[in-house]
Amino acid sequence: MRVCELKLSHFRNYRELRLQFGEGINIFYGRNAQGKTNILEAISLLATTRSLRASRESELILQDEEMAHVTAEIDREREGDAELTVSVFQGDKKTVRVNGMKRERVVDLLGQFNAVFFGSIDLVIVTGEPADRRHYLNIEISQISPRYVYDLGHYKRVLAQRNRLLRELRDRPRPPQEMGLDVWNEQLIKYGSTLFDKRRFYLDRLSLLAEEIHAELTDGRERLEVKYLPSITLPVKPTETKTAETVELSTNLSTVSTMANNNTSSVAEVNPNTVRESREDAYLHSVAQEASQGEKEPAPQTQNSPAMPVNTLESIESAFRRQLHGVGTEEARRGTTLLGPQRDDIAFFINGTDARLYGSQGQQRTVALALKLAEFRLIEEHVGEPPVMLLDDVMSDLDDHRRKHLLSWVRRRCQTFITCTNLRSFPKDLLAEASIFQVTAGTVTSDVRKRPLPTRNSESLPEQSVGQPVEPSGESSVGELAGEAPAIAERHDLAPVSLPAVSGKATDKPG
Amino acid sequence: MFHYAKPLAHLVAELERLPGIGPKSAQRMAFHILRQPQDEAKQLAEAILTVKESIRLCSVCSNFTDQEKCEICRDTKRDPALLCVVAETRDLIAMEKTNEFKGMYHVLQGLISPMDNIGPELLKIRELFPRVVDGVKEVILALNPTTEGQTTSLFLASRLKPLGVKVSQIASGLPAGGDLDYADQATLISALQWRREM
Repeated sequence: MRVCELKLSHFRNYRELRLQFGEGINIFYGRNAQGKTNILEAISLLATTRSLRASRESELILQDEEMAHVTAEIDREREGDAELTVSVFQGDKKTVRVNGMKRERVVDLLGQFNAVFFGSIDLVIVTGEPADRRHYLNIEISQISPRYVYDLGHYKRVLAQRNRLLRELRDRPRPPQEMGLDVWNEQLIKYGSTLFDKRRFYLDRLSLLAEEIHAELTDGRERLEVKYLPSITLPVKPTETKTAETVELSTNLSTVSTMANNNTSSVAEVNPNTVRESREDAYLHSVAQEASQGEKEPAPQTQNSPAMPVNTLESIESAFRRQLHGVGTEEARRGTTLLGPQRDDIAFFINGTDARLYGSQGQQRTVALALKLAEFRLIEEHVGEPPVMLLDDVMSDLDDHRRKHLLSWVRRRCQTFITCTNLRSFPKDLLAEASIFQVTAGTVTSDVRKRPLPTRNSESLPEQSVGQPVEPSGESSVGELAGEAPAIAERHDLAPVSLPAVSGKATDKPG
Repeated sequence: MFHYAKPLAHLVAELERLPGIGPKSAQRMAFHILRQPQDEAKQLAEAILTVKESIRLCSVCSNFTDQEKCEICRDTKRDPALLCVVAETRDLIAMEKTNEFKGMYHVLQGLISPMDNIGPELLKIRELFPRVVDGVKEVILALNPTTEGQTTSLFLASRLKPLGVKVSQIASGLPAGGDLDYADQATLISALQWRREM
């Protein structure tokens, strides 16, 4: 998968911009705050429909303008070329187009194009709040499962409605049943359970890959463990021993069948394979009962078949139902929902120690990198071709070993976009085959001086300054050559001619 | 700075309160009314007043009517064993336009939505039960496939089923005559969910 051409209109600090990219590594260099990351953000917007950094999406629009457009020509191995457009309007409205056709919903863009972003903001996946980790999960799963976005949208709505109802009932007590609390419970359970299920499924696979990649990044010195911390105690999976594909298949089927049954689960089908699970369920049930002692309210109406769930989703639903019932009194007292995916978290352990709390910044950064590379592999596996990699200013943050590892990892594997303040950290042969762009205050110039490497920018290649004189010495050498036959006046004339080159250099230097 | 004369400003402000009408449209409408012949403007004003005075809810189905019972409830050719539940009168009109459904209706006058302070007690749900007990064989829930519509459907289904009546829900999925590849993902997901055996 690759981006052939990108057009920005009134996006961030770009009025109009049109860029064509190389198939391999594309490097954007320039001082800070010139608009390098904005290019990566535009590409990421096409993959996720979300801004990387803006809290309000109208921040993406150039000042005093009404709307911003991002359009890209995408080349896909499996699905062919496509032109994708995201338009952002004042008031945070968005529309998306695929090959010029406007799509009904913004989420319909998901799955058209995939990109993995890695930058310093990703450190919050490890060091931030649980909300940051949930946000990360939501964005990543949405790239491979449009269904997840659909369920998440419904869940958020149900949660807001249920919270409002619980608050109402706390402030003005009425019989909860009359106000329909039982129905909101069922809706919460239905959508919440699919989120639990998808998150567990995704994290199961992600953690395997991340742990493996992390071992490579640390030369096997550190062992990473990624652990999903769901807000409820999830039942043990009956499909534990099956392959990933089977799990996915059965999950999908169960989703469909549960929906079709509309929560009227059938007691008839008791699967002998679920005996182990029913024990787990019995345990959960007793826990829930202990928690709800003294509570008169009967179990919700669909409780008539709690005995033997026959598949993953149903067993999650019944576990969620019991545990939700268990906290019923406390929820009524506090007037808010206490269980559900909105309270999930993820833990990262390095050699058994919680990296969220005790990891060094280097370790935390390596965990974030391992997660991102694992995510890349998951998408690649799911889509059948590698996504685009976006690396924002990571060259300076990583140590030598990890930087080399990362560059060799992306090289020839996928189209990669890298922002940096200078070209110092790149090996010579990589620069030779990369497409290089210089970004200065919203202007992007394609750096065509490749092979031989750019010599004018002193900062770009300090190790290579051998080859070329750059500083005033450059002029003097010219001067000296000219000086063979020369008048002082001529030498003096040379100076103003070379001056622009010198001042040009100055702007390239990192700020 | 110049302002509209008071009566005109007042009209603009009133029109602006209507749903879907912004300041520009309100101005345009106000000027249109101003230029209308006197009797046309009067007709509009009277129509507004008359609708407020004469329209009430049907005593049976809670549809809007200008009589004790609405036209549909008075129609003896309709099948009283089939009852279609809709949220609004405009949904009833949409169903009627199909010319396919020959049963009776019940209009809830809204959907359950705690965020809008609408609980079940504010909807015409209490009025539904005596009707269902009185000879209805099937209740068809025709509510929007939104979170609130789904929740209201679940609420009604769980309360109606114990009465021994058949409760069904209209299908949700692809539009008739639509192209599969132009359908949005939510619609396709729904169509897949509600698929039926052939």
